[in-house]
Amino acid sequence: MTTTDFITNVLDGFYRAEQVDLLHVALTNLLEMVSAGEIDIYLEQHEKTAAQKKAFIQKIVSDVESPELKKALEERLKENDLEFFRERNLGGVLAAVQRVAETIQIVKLRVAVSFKEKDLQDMVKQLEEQLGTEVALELSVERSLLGGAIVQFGTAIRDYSIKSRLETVRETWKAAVVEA
Amino acid sequence: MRDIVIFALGASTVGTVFLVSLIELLFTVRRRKSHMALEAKIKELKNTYNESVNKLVIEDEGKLQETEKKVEALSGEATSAREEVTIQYEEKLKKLQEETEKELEHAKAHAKKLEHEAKQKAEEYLASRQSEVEHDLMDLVISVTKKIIPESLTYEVHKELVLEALRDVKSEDPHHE
Repeated sequence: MTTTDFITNVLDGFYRAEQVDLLHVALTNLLEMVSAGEIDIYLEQHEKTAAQKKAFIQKIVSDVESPELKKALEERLKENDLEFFRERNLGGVLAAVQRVAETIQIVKLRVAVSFKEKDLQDMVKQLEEQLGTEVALELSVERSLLGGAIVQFGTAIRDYSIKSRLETVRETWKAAVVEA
Repeated sequence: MRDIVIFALGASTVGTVFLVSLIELLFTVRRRKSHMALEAKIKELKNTYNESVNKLVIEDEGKLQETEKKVEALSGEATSAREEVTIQYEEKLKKLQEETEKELEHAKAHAKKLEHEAKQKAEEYLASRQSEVEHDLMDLVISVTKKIIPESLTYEVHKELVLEALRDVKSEDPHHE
């Protein structure tokens, strides 16, 4: 499995900002551990059996905060590819994942109702097509919006809520009829 | 005898006629004298009367002339007074008419001003009430709409509204092509 495949494997299915946050935390912690050479030192201990080495790595992997990263690492572990977890391999891969993760655009989406996960993924796909970058949603539900959504990405905020449209109608009415 | 009797009868008849004529003559003379005396008296009385009348007439004419003069004088005074009164009346009437017209104009202007003010106030009040009603109307519509929308929108409509909003994101992002 190439680094690209690994990255794709990790990031595939990312659509929530919480997932990205956890990934950043996990990558930071794991990179610190890898950079410190903790895994390499253990793997180089000849008195340790392969099973012990695998158990050691399994322990580290099980502590990974990001479920997606954990799953990708567990798959490599199932293949008994312990060399993958050495600093010279894993360090590069994690750094690459981190670089890609940093490009994920966090879009804050305020909606009026809760949506199914599949529909949220559809919305992320829609946004990715529109913005041309990986996108993760920071979702909040506000019943008072009535419908539609308020979208915030970067410094831009776009209000497409029904509440806002009704207010616009009210202001237009006031300007055109009441204050005319 | 007979002739004597006839003669006597004739002589008595003639004497009687003569006597009657004489008496008639006497009476006629007397009547004439009386008539003449009466006429003279009448004439005298007539003259006296005429003189009296003429005197009275002359006196009356003098009085009449004097009265006429007084009447003329009074008439002149009356005419003069009348003219003066007429002039004063006309002046007063004219002044009164002018004052009345002035008052009328003033009253009209005041009435017009009051009417204008009342109309303006009415229009302002109407506009104010209309504005309140229109404002309240839209508030009511928005309020009702806010209550109806959550109940009337299905899950699919909500989803489509969000997707529609997300489709607009691209066109509003100037950095993205």
